[in-house]
Amino acid sequence: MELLLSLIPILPLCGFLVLALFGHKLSRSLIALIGTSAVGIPALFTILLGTMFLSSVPEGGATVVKLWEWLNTGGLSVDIAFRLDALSLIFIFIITFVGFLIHVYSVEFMREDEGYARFFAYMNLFVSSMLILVLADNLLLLYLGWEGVGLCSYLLIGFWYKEPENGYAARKAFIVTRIGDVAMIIGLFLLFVNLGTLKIDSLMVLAKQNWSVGSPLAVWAAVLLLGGALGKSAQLPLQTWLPDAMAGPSPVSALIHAATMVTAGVYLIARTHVLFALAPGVQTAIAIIGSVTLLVAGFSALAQHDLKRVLAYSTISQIGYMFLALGVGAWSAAIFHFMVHAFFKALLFLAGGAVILALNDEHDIHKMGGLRKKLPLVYWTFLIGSASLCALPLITSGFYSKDAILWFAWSAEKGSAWFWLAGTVGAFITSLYTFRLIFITFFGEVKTQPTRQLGKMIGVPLIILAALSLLVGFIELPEIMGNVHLFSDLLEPILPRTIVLNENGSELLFQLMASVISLSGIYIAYLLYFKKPALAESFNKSRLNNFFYIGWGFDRFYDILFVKPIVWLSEIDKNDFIDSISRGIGRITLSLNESLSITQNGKLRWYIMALALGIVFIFTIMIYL
Amino acid sequence: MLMSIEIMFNSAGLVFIIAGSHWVQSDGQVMFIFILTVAAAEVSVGLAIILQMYHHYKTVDVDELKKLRDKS
Repeated sequence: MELLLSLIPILPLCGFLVLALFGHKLSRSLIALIGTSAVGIPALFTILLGTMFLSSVPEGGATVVKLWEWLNTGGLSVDIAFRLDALSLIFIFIITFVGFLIHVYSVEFMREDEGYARFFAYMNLFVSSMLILVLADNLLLLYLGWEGVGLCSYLLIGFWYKEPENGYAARKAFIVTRIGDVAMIIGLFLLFVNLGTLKIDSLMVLAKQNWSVGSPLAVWAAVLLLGGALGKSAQLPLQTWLPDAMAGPSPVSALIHAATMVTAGVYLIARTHVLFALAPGVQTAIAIIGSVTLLVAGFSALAQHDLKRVLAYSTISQIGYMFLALGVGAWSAAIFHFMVHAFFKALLFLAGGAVILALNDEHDIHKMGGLRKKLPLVYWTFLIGSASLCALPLITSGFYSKDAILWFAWSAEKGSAWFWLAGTVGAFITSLYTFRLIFITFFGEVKTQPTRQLGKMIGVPLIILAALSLLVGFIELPEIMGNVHLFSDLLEPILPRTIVLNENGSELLFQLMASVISLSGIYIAYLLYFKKPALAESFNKSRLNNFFYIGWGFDRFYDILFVKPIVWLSEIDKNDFIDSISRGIGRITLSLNESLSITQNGKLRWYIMALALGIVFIFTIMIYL
Repeated sequence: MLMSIEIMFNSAGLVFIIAGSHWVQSDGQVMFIFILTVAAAEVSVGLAIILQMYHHYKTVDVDELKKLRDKS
């Protein structure tokens, strides 16, 4: 078991090394084989490990494999150690399995690209870093994985580096998440200085012992870790990078910016939930940030033209739901929604990528239409993914996970009616923008003809993900409908059950309300975008729509507040004292050049003179030294 | 120009003779014979070079040999 566990993050790393060093010499099929098996074999191992884990749960709910001691200095002792418990098991299952499907999809999607080996190398490095992140036993190793996924995100967003726009988007993503990373590393410093260790389980025990609820140290540590999570998970105020990150290829958007990297923040908070329980103010702040983000992103998604940007804002919104759940203490509901979201969002991105590929790189939805008949498989899988996103009642997994979050937002000890209201309005908006997307893209008349056939390697992952989007929900059914608790039982040792306070109002009522809301959203989308497009047209030209389109003006706000002052300062500082030193060195070298080149004027007399002088010089040295 | 080289050789030889006679040793005379030999060889080579130069440049003006110039 130990060997399997250690191989899981190491195999993709080996895949990266092989492809990075020798990729340019290998044939396409060999590159594809190495790239996909470097993620496929860990997926297999995960399934094996999972069955072993579930059949005989180890002592204390976790297995820890220590590979070697990383550093041991100044009181800080950090090992390379991987910890497998229910939480990390779920995450590695998603990462390897969804990752494998996306790699298979990319075999066909990226086939024409000249950077084929580079793509798979970066994807493998990403999968390896993400696995290290979730399997890490201590926060420093987690931070290693955290930085690794940030790096790979930068490399993959700017994959088509010949377009400058892609480079700017990659840089923006890296810089914005960097702000969060700085907060996180300071949080790590704080935790180490006060509690003496960075091992996660020891930290949680010590924090509970030494810090009382609401103590300033706990609050600061929680705030700083939250800052890191906000950056990586693209929540307010650090959410501006994700829509621009859609400059990368669709498999990248599916893997990094839907299923895995953006959920690293959710993982971090869930892992260190004891710390957040010790700082209730921070936890409420998480819920507030989650609710506000889901509304802001939802409204923004309503106004977008680019297919992938709608999905990007949708991702920000859904992670807002996960943060909302974490903030009210519904830990396993948040992880359940993460799992379901990974499936349907990856599906939506892959299907969207298939549409873009078939229409020869057309991203604008207003130039699409009528694709229902032209690309039937893509249409049906996209529809299933969207149904799960809108939490269509009873048949989709999204219903069970989102419904659980809304129920806990109302009824949990830390919940409130406002959170429930935000979540419900968000659900309505979700249905609205999702079906707006479907009606404009797949219905109506064909504006751009599909020019490319899509093969099996694109189709099969779509089908598998669609099936999972429908079926996975049934492992956690609410009390009224069968009371199945497989998922939260699995997570019980790690994530405590949510304390439900407000028993007024049966769960059934809330489920009915949620269903009505999502269905009405779909109906209104039908009216607005299918039956009477004229109404939507008039709204599209309004200033409110433009406000939503620019993402509520956050980019412009940050531009005025941060970017312009720094650029102005650096313009003033262009010719300062330190610059003159380096320019002075250049000038000295140039003048030396000019003076010495006089001696190379081609005149024979000069050369003879130089010879004679040189001989005299040497003799002088010989005699007198 | 070769004339000045001849003069220099002869003057160097004269210095050696004077030194040899000052310290009453025959080494000065021996050196002078070496110098004479070298001068003879040098003259033949030098004359050959000058003939080649006249063949290419049609002049014996040394300032015309400018091809080694730095082209900047």
